[in-house]
Amino acid sequence: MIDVRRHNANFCAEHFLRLCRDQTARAIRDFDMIAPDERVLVAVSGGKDSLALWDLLVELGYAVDGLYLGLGIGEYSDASGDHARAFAHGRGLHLVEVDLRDEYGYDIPSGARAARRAPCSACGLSKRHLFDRAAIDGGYDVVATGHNLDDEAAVLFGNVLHWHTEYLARQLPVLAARDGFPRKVKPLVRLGEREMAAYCVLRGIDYQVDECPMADGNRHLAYKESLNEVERRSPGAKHDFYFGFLDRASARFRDGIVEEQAALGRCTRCGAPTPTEVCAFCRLVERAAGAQPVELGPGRGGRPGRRPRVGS
Amino acid sequence: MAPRPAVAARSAAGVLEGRRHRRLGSGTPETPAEGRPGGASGHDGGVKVLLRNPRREVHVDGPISVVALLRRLDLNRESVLVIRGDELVPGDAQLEDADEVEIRPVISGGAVGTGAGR
Repeated sequence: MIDVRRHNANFCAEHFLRLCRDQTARAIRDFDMIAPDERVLVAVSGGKDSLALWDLLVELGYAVDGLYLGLGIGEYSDASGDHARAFAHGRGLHLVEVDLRDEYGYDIPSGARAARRAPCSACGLSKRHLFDRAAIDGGYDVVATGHNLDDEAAVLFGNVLHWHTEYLARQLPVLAARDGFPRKVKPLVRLGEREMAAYCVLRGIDYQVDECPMADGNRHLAYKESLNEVERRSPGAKHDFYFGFLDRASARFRDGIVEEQAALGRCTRCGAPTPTEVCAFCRLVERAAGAQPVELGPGRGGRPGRRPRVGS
Repeated sequence: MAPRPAVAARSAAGVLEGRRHRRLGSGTPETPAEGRPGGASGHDGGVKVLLRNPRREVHVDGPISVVALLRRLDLNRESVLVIRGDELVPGDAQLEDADEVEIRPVISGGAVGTGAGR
């Protein structure tokens, strides 16, 4: 039994799992995310959202492979990779793996430090670039990510708080494919973070519960907590905030997109679409090249930007 | 991820690192008394509660509802799941002294970006 306050109801396991499947199918249908015969690549982290998404898409009958990026964040990444592999192996699914250190010569702690980026920024940049590349190279029609309602509401909150209108213009559950970019979809936008964790528990999906040691202090986590406090007092507020934005405000910010897209050229090193001569990912790889691995602290690890301890 | 659960639990159970044990009786000063009067009923009795990030255990006098337990630990219901064995426990369920539950934070994040996606 799980209580979902925004639906003002308790659900038994069977009906809760059906709710999750129905909400995912509805998001896919409402936003034209995936056609029935398309090949899907799911971005898999080993956490609850990406594994639940993979499971749901398979349940809904889609042809889905997973892509796991080895980020090199100490024991956290080791355990995350184990969860992703165990999930794929247990269900006979295909998991593609890319290891940042082996294939690009850096990991997130050392790369972020060398490039003077926040770890979450270096991580997000690496993921976006490599998921795009893997999807295009692998002939996939669409990349699906496990962004849920809480993720989208928190990002929206941050974008509104600082009036990042260029980001508001593109904060959509579907980003259409265009030259150099695959289509990207977020089929979990109708489901909350707590619901995805519950889905995994009820489906027996063993996921990475521990938090990423690099994310401590991340501003989006603070936004999530703030929104959860609102949600506690007003169930359904996050849903209304995000879907109200999509229904009533999103289109008003889209004027600048066409202009920006027209300005994209090609990275002279990797060929990826970029507004600059060399794309941000190639610049990150260059700056991180040869960087000594950053040793994470005990327990929850450390933030290399604050108290790095460089290995000998 | 931001373990407000962890921060909150620290406020209720003291600053804890790693695997530690702490008993919360009805006399816990941060919250009104809940459950059985008199608080501690002896060594490691009560509802055994596993908390995460960092992983630690606390013991709370039962019987106590899930909602009251979360309130006592200063945790937001929207940010956690309460799990007993392989079952989810709803907010209105009653926990007894022999129960063992995990309070699992559900907030995760980090590189969610700006939502722009590219």
